[in-house]
Amino acid sequence: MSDSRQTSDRPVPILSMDQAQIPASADTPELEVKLQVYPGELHLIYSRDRQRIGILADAMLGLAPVARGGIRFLGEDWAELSGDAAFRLRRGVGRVQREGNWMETRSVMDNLLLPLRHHTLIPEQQLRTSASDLAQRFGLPGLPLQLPGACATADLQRAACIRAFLGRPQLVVLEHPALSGDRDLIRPLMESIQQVRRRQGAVIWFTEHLSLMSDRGIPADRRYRIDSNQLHEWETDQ
Amino acid sequence: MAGPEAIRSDAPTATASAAQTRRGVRYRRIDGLLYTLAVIGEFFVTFAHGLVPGRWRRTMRAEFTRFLFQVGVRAVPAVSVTAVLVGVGLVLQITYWSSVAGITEKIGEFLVLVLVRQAAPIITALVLIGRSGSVLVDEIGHLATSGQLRTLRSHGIDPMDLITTPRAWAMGIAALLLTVLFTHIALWTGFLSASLSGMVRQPALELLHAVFASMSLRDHLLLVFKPLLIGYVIAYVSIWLGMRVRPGVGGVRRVLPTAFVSALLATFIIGTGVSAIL
Repeated sequence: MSDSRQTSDRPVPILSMDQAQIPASADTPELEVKLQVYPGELHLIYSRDRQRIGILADAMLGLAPVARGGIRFLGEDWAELSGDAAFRLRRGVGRVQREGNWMETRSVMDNLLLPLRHHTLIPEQQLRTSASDLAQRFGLPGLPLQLPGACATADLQRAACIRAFLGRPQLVVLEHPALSGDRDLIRPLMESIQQVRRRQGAVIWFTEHLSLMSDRGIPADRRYRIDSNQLHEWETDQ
Repeated sequence: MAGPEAIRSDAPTATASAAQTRRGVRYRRIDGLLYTLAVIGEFFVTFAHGLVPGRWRRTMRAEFTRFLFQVGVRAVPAVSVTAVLVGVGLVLQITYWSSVAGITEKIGEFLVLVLVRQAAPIITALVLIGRSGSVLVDEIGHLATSGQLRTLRSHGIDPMDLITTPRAWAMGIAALLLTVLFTHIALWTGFLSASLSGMVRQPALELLHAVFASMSLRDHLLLVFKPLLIGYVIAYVSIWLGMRVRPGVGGVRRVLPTAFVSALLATFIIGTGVSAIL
């Protein structure tokens, strides 16, 4: 994958942030980000600041304003796209958020299938079958039919991952997908990530666990940490 | 204390500051005007999107059905009780006084003018505002503050498509159907109570026929468009305000009075406007 970047006919990056200045809250400085995410890559980013991660992930998907610089997704600058075009482009994104993943008045299954039901004409039965298969991979017996409030946190976390990987997304943004101590989630998560990479999608994984950053079993192409106001390459001795 | 020299040296600064303030006020007014135009534009775009059958995805249709049941079917008891009370009060009064004045042939016209054109759409709208408007603000406000709208946007789903369009149309259709129901219940109970109390000698069916015979094409059009538009706007205003709720102290509670008053004002403005046109 790194070889492909060295050739003259580089593929178009799935996500490109060119010295983008991401505004933050009043008590934290702007974050400067230079990031190129190419097809087939996995980028691991370490930060314990959940609010900042949320804003950065929003900016990556064109949902938060950028003070300076530009953010391109599949070669398109979010700032230059109309509202409809931006929504169309975001169909190819899977995301696990730290909070607010679930509409509380709908069952977890309805929440899970909502994006594909909305964007595609795939028959309902086929949707449920592919979601069930993914659910079993993530260690769930089937699709959770309860309301999110009645579901265990660990199950909700798995369901959020299932939704993110369902429907062949081109970019998956994972904000702290694995709760601390939930090591069982790592294996199915890695399988799904590898699947996305094999079909030339990309994954950005935000984590607050140092153990994950130093885990060489996770085949990340790039590792970063967020400093006070910049995104730095992760050094191996950290 | 500042001497005359100091006052003289401050004078240009004060003038410049006043000019800046005036410019600031002017820019704020222009911003406000542009914002209002944007809001109105957004309203018409959303309304127009709802008129294009191809834009109704299966998730929107499901949301429409679910919400129509929630605001329409579940509001039947409340609207029915209100209609019975209005029927006994208003229709009975009109029927009785028309008999006393010896102008029973005008009963139909009076009822069309008062009940069908004015009371039924407005009272049904008031029931909907009280029953569903505030619930809608609360629900959408919660979606906004808990990050659920952000989740939808992240997955490429425009909340205007999934939430606003189906719910606003469902509320419009519900208002139309409930207004028709309200009119019928009010007329029947009014006539029945008038007959039972011996105030009028005409049979209820004859009175009902007199009402429908008095209705012109404009009255029929008004009966369709007034509640439809009022219902749509009540839902739109509630959702629009709900989506702009920010997390923090008060949150949704701060928006509720604004939403209530806005929906009420919109109801009366649309009511008067449609009556004036039709």
